[in-house]
Amino acid sequence: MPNTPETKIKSALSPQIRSAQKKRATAVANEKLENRPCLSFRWCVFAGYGLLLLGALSICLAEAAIGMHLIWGNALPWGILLLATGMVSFLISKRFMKRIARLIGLTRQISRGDFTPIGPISKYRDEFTTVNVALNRMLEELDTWHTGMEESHQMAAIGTLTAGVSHEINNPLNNIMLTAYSLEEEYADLSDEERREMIADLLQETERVHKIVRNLQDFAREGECVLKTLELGKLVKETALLVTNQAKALGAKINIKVQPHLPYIRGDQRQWKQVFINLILNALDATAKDGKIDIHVEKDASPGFVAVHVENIGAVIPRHILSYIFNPFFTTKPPGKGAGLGLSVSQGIVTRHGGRIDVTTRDGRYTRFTVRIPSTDIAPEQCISRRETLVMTKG
Amino acid sequence: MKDILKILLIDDEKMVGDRLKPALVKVGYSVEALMDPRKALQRIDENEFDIIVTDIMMEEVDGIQILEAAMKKSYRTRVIVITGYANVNLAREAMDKGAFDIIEKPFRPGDLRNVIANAAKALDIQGEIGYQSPAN
Amino acid sequence: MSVITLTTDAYSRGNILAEGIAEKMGYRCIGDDDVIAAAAKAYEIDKGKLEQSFRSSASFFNPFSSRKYRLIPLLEAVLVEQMCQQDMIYHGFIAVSRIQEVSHAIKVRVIASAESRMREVIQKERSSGMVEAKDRIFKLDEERQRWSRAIYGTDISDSAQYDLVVNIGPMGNEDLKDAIETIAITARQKKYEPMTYSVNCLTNIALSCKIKAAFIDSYPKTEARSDKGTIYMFVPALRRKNQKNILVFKNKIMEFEGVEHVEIYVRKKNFDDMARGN
Repeated sequence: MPNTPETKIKSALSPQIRSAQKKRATAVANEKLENRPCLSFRWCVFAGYGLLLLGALSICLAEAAIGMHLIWGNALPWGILLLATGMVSFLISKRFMKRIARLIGLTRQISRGDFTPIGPISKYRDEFTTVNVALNRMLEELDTWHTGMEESHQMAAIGTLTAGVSHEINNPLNNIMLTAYSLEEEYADLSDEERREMIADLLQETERVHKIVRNLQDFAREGECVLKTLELGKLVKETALLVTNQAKALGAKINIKVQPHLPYIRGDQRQWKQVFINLILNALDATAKDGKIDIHVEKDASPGFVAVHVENIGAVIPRHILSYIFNPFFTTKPPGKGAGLGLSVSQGIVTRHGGRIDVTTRDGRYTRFTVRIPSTDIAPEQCISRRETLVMTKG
Repeated sequence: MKDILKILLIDDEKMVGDRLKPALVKVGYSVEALMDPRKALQRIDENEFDIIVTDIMMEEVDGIQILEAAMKKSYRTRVIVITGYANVNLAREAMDKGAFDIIEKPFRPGDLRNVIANAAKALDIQGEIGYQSPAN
Repeated sequence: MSVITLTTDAYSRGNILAEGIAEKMGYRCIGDDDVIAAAAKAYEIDKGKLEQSFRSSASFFNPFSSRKYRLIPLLEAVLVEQMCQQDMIYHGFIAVSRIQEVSHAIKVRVIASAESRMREVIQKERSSGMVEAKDRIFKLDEERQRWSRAIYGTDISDSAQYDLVVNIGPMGNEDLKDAIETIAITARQKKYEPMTYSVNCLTNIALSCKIKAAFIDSYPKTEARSDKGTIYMFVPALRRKNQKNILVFKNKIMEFEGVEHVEIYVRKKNFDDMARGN
């Protein structure tokens, strides 16, 4: 059979025609046919089937119209859907991002040593509430761990100081021993005045030992955190006294300059001493024999803060390790010479008091650690010190 | 001929000189007690001492410097170091630089007398005045 | 005039070295066997038991073997007493950690190359090949490490605790001669001469070891520190019934020669102790 349009139509329509023949009913055959002039009103298509052709309906559609219809029919709803999806995604992600940004902020806060738990951001429970709770639990653990670290660092500091103190005591002890033995040996030959003088010396040297030990005892005394109003200058000077021996052993000098009329600070005395002991001991470790450490206590450029600068001329921290020095357990000392806890613990203490600790180093010239502490105008007599947990939120 | 031992005592603690000087003079030594190590350096330069007893931890000038100055002046001088900060490294450094002995603080006057007696023996100066039996 | 301690590894010809140095310097030479014999005599204990305590080490089945090492204080007491008499060289590692602060005690370590040690094993044991020799050396070194860590908490090969480390490499006769010369020259330096301070240090350590040795059965986990006649005892936490015995304990210590005053402190158990099984 030749493959003409007629034959194509015939074969396409033959099922309908046969069914019409069977049913003896009216049949409508509709097929999409090529639009050709030879097909218009072609009765012969159906000739020979015993059917009476009633007519042909020609329907024409312009393609362009179809095209437009397709666009408006498909693209618009899709477009609207897309837009709607986009908006919803944006809204949802904005909410997520806000939460996530808050979490990122929290990690930064933790890295600074601030373990204040975070409060909920929305009024109802959502997926982030679970994360929040987990994080707060983690913060609580970290805080406990950190306190543990602080305690062990304090123990280490006490150990170092005790070694120094035990040497410092040797001089007054020696004086007592020599005087007591002399008194015993020469008793009969001494005049009354000489005896009295020796006894006075014994008492004086005993007081001296007491003072040396009391300073250390104050620092080492166990107890909870006590918030008090403190005089920073006095605190720094007392701290320097604690490390006299370490300084003496190195032949290093510690110069302290305190600006007059400084405002007070509030905090725990023992913890602050710990911070300054750490900074001074670090500076001493980096000092050559006969070196010098300068400590300045003054009002800071930023209002409401006081600053303590611990400066070491000649010592330099290499740039590439500057960013690591506050990390726990980071140390450049040989093994057995320090766990590397000092600066990270100190930073923790400073941050919890609402302050900050920075380091500046000038190539080949000096290294300076600056501790900025919020000041207060409450004079010591005016406040009642209570035992309270030290949790200070940033204002 | 009895030689009187010349002893120089250097310690920035006043009581060390106050108590040790009479205790040593009693057994017949000639004792000079100084608290300022810089003055001591001067005296060492001016004078040769038989025995120098010095502290280590002093301001400005420390005992090691005294030891070195004494050794430079005369190898005969016996330097005895007394210190409250004794440790193995300091001990070895002092011995290396020529110290005769090192005593840790606190000590009894009798302990120092024994060591000085040993130093005197080493200097070969004997006699009633310069020598004290170790049993004391 | 001084005291030399020589720490070597197994099969490093340590004995030859020690004897060579002793001869060169006119010193007495003491080895671990001498110490064990002296302790057996002084404390009337079976030599075999002391040997066992000394040579055995912690194993998988008995990791916390503080019982095994309980006789070590006896060896330390005897050895440090010998050291007080000066002019001696000790070949071994007992008590080396205890005399770190004594300035006239020269702590020497001698190391040799693994190959030469293996050759020494083959020569001495006759039956071993290189592989067996290597195993043997490895096993012995491991054992000594474990021993030193268990008793002193230190690494026997840590050079920080020695004043001089000598490498005798191939361990030939010339190498040994050079090593002996080096060690003798070092020992003769003025800074290693004894002085009142260092002699007192050693006397204190000797007394502490003696007291600890006397109480290994009644108070096994006690540490003793002596300072010119004042004794500080550190005992682990005691049960109430034992506290009454403290006075008896104190009096017993006062009976020792040279003891003028006794103080007893209770040491809190710490994690280190627990980890070691103390």
